[in-house]
Amino acid sequence: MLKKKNMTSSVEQEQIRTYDSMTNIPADAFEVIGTDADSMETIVRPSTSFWKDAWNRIRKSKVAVICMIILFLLLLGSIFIPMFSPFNYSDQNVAYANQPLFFKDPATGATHLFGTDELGRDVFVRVWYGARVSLTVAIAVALIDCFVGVIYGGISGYFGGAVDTVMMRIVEIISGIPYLIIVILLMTVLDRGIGTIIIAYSLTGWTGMARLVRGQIVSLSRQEFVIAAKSMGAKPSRIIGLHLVPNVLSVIIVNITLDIPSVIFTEAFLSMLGLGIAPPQSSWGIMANSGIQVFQTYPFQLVIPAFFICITMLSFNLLGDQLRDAFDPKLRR
Amino acid sequence: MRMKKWIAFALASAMALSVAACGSTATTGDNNNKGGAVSYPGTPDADMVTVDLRAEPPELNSILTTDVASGDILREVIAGLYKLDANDNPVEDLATDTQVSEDGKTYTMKLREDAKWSNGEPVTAHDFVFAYQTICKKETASTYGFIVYENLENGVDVFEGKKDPSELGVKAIDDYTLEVTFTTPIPYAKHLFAFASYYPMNQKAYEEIGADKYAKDADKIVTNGAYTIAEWTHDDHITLQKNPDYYNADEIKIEKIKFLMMKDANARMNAFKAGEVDGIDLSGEQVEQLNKEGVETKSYVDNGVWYLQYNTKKAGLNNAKIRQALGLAIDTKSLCDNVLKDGSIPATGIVPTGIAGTNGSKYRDTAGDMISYDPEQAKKLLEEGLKEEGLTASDLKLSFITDDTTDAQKQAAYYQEQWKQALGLSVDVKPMPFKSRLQAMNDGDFDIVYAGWSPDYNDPMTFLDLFVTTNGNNYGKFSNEQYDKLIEQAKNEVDAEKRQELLIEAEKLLVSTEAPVFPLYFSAKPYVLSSKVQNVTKTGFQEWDFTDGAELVTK
Amino acid sequence: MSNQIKYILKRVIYSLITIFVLIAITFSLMQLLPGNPFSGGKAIPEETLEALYVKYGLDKPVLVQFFIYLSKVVQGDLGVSVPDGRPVVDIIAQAFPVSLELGVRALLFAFIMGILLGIVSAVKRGTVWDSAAMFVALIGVSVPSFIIGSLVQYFLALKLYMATGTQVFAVMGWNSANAKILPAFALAFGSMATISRLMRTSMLDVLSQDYIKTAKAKGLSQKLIIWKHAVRNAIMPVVTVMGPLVAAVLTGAFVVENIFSIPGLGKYFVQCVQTNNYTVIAGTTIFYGSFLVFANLIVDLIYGLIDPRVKLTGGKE
Repeated sequence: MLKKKNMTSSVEQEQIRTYDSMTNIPADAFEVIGTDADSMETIVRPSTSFWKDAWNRIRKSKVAVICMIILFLLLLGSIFIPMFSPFNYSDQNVAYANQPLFFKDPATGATHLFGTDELGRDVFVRVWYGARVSLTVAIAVALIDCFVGVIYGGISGYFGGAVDTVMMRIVEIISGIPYLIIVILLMTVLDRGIGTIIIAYSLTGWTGMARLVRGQIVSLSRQEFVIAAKSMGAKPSRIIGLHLVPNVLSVIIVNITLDIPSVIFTEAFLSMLGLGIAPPQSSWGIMANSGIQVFQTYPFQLVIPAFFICITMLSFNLLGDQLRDAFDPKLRR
Repeated sequence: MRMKKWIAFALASAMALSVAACGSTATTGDNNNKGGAVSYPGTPDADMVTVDLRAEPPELNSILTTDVASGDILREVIAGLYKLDANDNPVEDLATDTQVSEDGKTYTMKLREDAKWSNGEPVTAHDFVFAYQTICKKETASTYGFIVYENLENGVDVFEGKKDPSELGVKAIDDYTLEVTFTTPIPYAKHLFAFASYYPMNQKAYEEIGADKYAKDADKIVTNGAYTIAEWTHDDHITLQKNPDYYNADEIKIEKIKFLMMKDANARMNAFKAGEVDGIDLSGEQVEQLNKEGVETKSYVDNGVWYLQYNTKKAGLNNAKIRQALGLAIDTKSLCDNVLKDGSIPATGIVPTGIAGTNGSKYRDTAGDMISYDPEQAKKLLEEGLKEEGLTASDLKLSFITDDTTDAQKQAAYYQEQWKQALGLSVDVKPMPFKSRLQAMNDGDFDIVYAGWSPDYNDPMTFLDLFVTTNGNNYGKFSNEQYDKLIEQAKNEVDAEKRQELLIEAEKLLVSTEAPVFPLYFSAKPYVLSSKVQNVTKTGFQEWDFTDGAELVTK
Repeated sequence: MSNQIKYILKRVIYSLITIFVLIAITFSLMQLLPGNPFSGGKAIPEETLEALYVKYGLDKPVLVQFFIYLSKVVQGDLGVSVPDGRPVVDIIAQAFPVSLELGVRALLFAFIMGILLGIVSAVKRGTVWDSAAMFVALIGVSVPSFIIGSLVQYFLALKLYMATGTQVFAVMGWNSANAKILPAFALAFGSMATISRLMRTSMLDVLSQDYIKTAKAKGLSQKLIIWKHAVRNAIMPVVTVMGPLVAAVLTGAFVVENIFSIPGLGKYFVQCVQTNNYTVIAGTTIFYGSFLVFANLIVDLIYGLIDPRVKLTGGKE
């Protein structure tokens, strides 16, 4: 297609060159060429899907790329650093408690990059182990919220009518209950494991996602392609799964990205109240909490976990913003 | 004399609301000072001292009160028969001329005639009779009622409704003569008279205000002590104003006292440095920090002991050698020096150092060291114990319950790691809220628990009595015939020396041989004062007392 | 008109149902909590415990207790705090105004500063001003309030006092004017950031609208366009997040009030959680919940009133 168009234009140029003066063109020099249906409908820009387009725009955003790199590094670090560190997150040496950055253990010669904490544990490995806990909790909660929310919102939005009314009223009631208060209550009742933390956090968190998905589905299901699918007798599960969900996926992804930092924050916040994960495990919240107790004497014990919390929240927030922009067709250039 | 009470499990900071700390009598001289070159000037007010109480005093009704914070306020505002002096010795307050009957059961006291309630009424013997009769009524539901009804003549019968309150062992012979009769001769009776449950109560005010509302606000309480409650903003501060009508008003040197209720340890420290408060309790880290700055910090030994209690009904823990091993594996010296850092000392038995022995000696000095850190021995004992039980180390799945405060969790992590290092055992730590822990202990739903105890009275028995089979606080369900017999013998032994020998034998059996409990440390409480105030009484019994000659330093 | 009333009625009824469910959940969770409300350090004698149970009505069957509780709540009686015997309603009546003042101060600060930052960064898009404003906003969304609180207390209250010798900001309390600034700031920071980001987006959106271009073309001054035409419309979406922000400020106060020793409900609530003061936890939860539900209701209704595009005709989609 592309070639053909180029050919036509070169022919025209040749003809123009033949005549010296623009005023003296004989009428028979003109020729009716008609319209070329092909060339009119030619798509010049490379074909791209919605996802590809979003990806392209995300890739061009420096901020988004940096955020993704940071998050990727955090993820890698949280997986591998505790595995390969000379220290274990629970190893104590109280004789060398509260040591400064780059403290070299005189006995073993190993260096504590971030110093040691109040029980002489290596802060570096603890902060990365803490990343494991904090990120696991955050991601798991975000995914559960998403999973439950999408199914619930999808069903509610798709079926509409009485089902929708009842389901949405339930959501309204649940989301009316103050989230944090319920989490605090649950944490006082349940054991302190990573599993219960995840359950407690995600118990009420899914409602936001459910509302969002439902809203999208409602507006989507009025569109022709859905009506068409319906009239052809597609099963609801197929319509929801194949037609509707992919179309609300962008909203879901953005929401997950913004959900994660709020869970990290909640985890830190509850650790402040003594409702965090059980020792000897660490999490950023636990570390920040004990860091706050001593930060006038050993500021780094607060600064380090605080830095990790901040950088993670920041990256997820910024990435979420960028993703939202990338997915928004209105902002397409 | 103190209430039987678990000591503040939360150590210095949180939990102050629900938990009362108890203390010792004998050891006020132990205030040890560190640092000293630098001091903070404190609050700018000319006639007021401001100190921190950590939390709101939950109950200022002396009939119902149970906790330390309330006790601190009540001590300033209510005068009882006796009070504790700066050395925790009981001295006469409203009582004068105390006569003790020959059998040691009946106390007859003349009361001062110049004492007045803040509503203008005189303080009479009837106020004591009313207070004791009220506290012994079942429907009053006073948590500490037993400290009166279990001791006073006919008390239990009155409580159970079998006898009329008028038959209780307390009588007003006339307006200013009070007669108190105990069931048995109680050697620490004068300590009891200084305790809040034995304070007088003005019947008229109590009934006018109503038992439900009494002492819930500054204007809903009548007082007769050195200070009156001038202002009370709940959960923020209480301000006390010197009572000019107090008989000993000349000796009260500070015009106003303000008690703050700061929960956050950092906030306390910041407020202290910024001159917003004159006296605060400290954490171990804060002691270190202030000493580094050259500031003098103080501390007092509160004669509490903290220990690990094992559930002796659990597989593995039913074996004394395994229990011993778990204890000996913990380096308690390092715990005190490197983790607690608040002046607490490693426990050498279950009875703390300050508790009296015979003839003015200290019990601990005679009893000697019964436990010391020995990881090698611990390892050996564990192997032997496991063999005896036919278990392997991997069968021993233990969980350790503790409070969910930052400090308790920090300690838990320490013990956990000690077990891992010395014995290769991995123990699960389960932090839980205070009440959940108590419930778990009650239900026997634990393997190892971190707990503490403070003395009832100045005698080793208050600690050793805990572990007899029938004691309600014996959560580990430890039962040993020989131990029970020794304690029983000691209780009936009249000869002091012989009694002490029996107690020492029992203690040895308890901590060295049977080990249902492993004493960790004898606790101390560090604090700091600004240079503005001096001679403040701060002991295990009296967390704050300004009536023993505390004064502002004039510059 | 009748549609509007119907909508309002409907929303009110749902709110009431929400509160009922909240009460039921809270009550059941209280039943699940271990221990009894009276357990302190020592084993209480059995007889005393019985007397206490009778005194507080805990000797009755659970369901009966629930309905008694429910009927009391409806009458505005949230029970009595067990250790200190004060009615929970009294505690709330005393502590909540403090929290409310703190919250209102924080929200006002967040709202005004957030809107201003948002406007500046939108109008000066792409300039240093934009970057600076958004940098502040980013710190706000990524630093938890307890860290901000601890830091400002240390540096702006203590260090400033030590450096200058005068008390610019108080470290703690709620009794003087200079004690009220830092906590409100610490509490407001996160919300301010959220608002400024939202405002910026919304402002950019509005600025690209035709009527703004028209106004420009007509030659209206920049000032007039921004303040009269753009800001008013751009504020709309910000109002919708006020509900969640009220919740955020409320829960944020749990920590901030503790750091600054402010005698508010948040400090009290946390203390009660840590000491398992069941009745106060339940009462406060119900109070907070109801407060938030009604805050949301009011925000919704206000939004409906001020935004002509939202018609009050039943559920939203």
